Amino acid sequence: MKTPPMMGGHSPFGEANGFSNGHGGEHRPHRERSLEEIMKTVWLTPENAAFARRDGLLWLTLEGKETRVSLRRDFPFEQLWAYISVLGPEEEEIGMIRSLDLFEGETASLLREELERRYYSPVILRIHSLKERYGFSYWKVETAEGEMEFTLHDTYKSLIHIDDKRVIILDVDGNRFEIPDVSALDRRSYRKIELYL
Amino acid sequence: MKRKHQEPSEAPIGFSPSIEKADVLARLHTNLDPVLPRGKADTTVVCTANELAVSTDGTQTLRIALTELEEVHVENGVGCVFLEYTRLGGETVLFARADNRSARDAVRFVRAVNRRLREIAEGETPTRSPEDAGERKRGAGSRRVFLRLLGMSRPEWKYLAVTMLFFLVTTGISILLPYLNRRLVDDYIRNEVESVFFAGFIGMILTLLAVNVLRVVTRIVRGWFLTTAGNRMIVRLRDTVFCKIQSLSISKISENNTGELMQRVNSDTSRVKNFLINQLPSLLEQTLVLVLISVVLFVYDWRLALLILLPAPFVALAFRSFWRFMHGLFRRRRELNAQGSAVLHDIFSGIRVVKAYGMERREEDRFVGMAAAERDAQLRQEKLWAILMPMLNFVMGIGEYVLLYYVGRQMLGGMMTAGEMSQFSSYASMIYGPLNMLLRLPRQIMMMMTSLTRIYELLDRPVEITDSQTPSLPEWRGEINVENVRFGYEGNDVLHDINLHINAGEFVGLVGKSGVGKSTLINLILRMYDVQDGKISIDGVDIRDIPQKELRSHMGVVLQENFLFTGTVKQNIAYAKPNATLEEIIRAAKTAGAHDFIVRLPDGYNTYVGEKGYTLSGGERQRISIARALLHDPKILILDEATASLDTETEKLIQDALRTLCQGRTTIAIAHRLSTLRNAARLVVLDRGKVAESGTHEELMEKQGIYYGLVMAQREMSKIEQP
Repeated sequence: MKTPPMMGGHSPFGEANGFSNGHGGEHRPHRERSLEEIMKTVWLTPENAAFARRDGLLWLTLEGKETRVSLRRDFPFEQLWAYISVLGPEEEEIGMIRSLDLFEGETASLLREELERRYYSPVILRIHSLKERYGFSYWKVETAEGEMEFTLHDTYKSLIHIDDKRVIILDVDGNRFEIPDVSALDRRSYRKIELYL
Repeated sequence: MKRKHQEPSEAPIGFSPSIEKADVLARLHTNLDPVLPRGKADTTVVCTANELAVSTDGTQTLRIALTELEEVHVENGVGCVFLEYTRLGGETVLFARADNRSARDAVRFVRAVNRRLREIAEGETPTRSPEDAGERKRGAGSRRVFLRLLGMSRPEWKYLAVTMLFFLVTTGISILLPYLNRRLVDDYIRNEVESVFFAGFIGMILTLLAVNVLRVVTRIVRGWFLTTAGNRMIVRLRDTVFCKIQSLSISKISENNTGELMQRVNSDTSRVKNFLINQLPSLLEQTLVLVLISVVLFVYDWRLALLILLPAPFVALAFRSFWRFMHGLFRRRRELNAQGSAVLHDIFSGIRVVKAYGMERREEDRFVGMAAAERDAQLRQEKLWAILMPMLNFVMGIGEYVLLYYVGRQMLGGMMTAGEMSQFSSYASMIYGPLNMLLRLPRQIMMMMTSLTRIYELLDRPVEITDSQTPSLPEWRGEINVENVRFGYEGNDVLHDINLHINAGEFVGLVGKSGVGKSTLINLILRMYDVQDGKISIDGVDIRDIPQKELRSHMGVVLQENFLFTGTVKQNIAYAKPNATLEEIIRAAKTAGAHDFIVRLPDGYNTYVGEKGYTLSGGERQRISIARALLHDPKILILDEATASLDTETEKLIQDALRTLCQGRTTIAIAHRLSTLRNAARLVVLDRGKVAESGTHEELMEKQGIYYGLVMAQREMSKIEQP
């Protein structure tokens, strides 16, 4: 696995990526909890938790109390639908979902949608062109969302290898793109990216 | 230093016959006169079971019974060390002086003598450590280094044999081609019979083509075999060097800085590889060409051969001087370049200081000065290159005019054909080309030998910590017993006569001034070093009898500056237990108080941290380290200034996390901030290398000893900080 790039002296995984919740940024404040509070894990199941969406926001009802919550993948590169932390308004963890499979029907699709909305990284299907100039590379790609263009600074470092096949690309603006399986790309696309793998 | 040859079981030379060589427990050679500042004296000091004796320039100058001595020690000078003994009455006497080349041997010698003195005091028989009797081997002859390189290439002998065969083939072809050209000219181009011309000419062209194709193919195959063999050898060498470094104790590794070690693993091995793949083949090929052409020329016409070969030594000398001169200039330029980089590094590293003191202008001048010096050196080198190189090439070409004159006369006299002339002109140019290349080889060989010697120096370092292979403790409780432990660096004892018993599950705080040996004691318990005397046992078993892997698997460490490897948070937590489940990792992070900030990171546990990854605060890094230690689940936990670099607020959370971590484990904690040891059941105060006080906080305060002094000093400090 490769080291992520540095941009502006800070990691691209920082606030600039478009979906960070503001780790030290200008978003919602978070409260430092005591160790006892941190150590406690409430596993959320269909039996003890009810999720609902209102005005585009996600709400959780737990032990009769309704709270506005947001979802975080604990292991976003390896577990898309498991080990989900449910955070409250002050970024404190209210509980954890071991697996979305525990939930069924509307709740399951609600939670999936919520996660997909938060973690936005278009999947690259084809690379139309890739030009490198003066340390920057300019990409034109085909994604599931249509054609996109983006720029990378220090291409080699902007490609994060999650495993042998999966690659995450971070552009200069902090946007993310994903190639789930580089070997499954068509020959022309693969040849373009091959040098940086 | 010359070593005198000694026959076994006789008295060592210069000593009285009653001292037998077999009795010698430790021996030291020194070369300085103990008294005269610049005096040289070939001195041998020996220690037997009962005596210490000194012989200077072949004459015994001192012989003293060990029962009369209290101890022997090394005093550091500058560039030399003094060996002194203290008699039982307290009188100290200087008995030898050694330059720093022998300083380590002197330390070993003194250690051995002191061990014997303790044995005598305890009525024990002498023991001999293998390192006492001998001295370290220094350096190695270039022949030995080269032979080792050949030995190292043994597994690749098949590849190398094929390569050699192809060398012969390509060299043969190089010599055959001018001959074929001659045949082409003499037999066909100048032959006036048309039928012969058509039949043979095409055949000859095809032969030339085929031979050239063969040459290309053999070169490709030769290159492939050579590169394969070279790369295999170098990967093996790199592995060996890397494993060797990992197997050395911390003290041995610390002898070189990280840059030097990286250079040995990467640059030095690369240089050896380049030599094997690029320069060695040239050396072989050019030498072969030179020898074979000379033979062919002498066989054909010795006068012609002499004409071609006679100027060679002069050309060689001219090139040799040229290269020597140019290398001096190259080196100067490189030095200036390196100095320039060092200045830049210095300025950028200290940019805050530069700006704070408004010294930008001064630093600019410093940098511009360095750049100008480099520019001047470069100009001089390039000017000389531009002038001298064409001149040398011209001188090299003069021989060809002489050759032209000779073969022209031969041709006019009908004694030589046009084809023969072309053949010998080709041979002449084939001799002078390689000559230039061969003259540069000694320098390249020297550079390779330097790298190789550096690599071997590392490989030959003794592994001080030997590993036990038999698992020793079926069940770990974590009871630690430190008995009469003595340890020092470079002859200066840091710890002497340390005795400490820590019960299983007990929390002990180690307290003492800086440099008193707290971290050294912890390193000894972790077996980063071996004790020089005494022993450390865990659950009754000497740690030297416990395999290192087993020992470390039951020990966890949280340091002041915890290193996070480049990788994800998850990988860092699971460092000591790579197969941990995700839930185990989450549990450890939660217990360490790290989970909250981790889930707030954009990629959660998959966030990259480390040198170039996400920037974590000191407290966050510390919490990850604690989670790492928790997941490791050690029986013995070591906290070395674990909260020293944190602010008071973060420290509270970390302290709470540490309290959870310590539960059910034997814990040894070092802290300068004494308030952080409030969880400790017992405090042990180290002073002057010994355990000075031991007890609870209240007991030690009541005693009003060293600990009391430290606490009072800190209270005064906090009063000043918070008036």
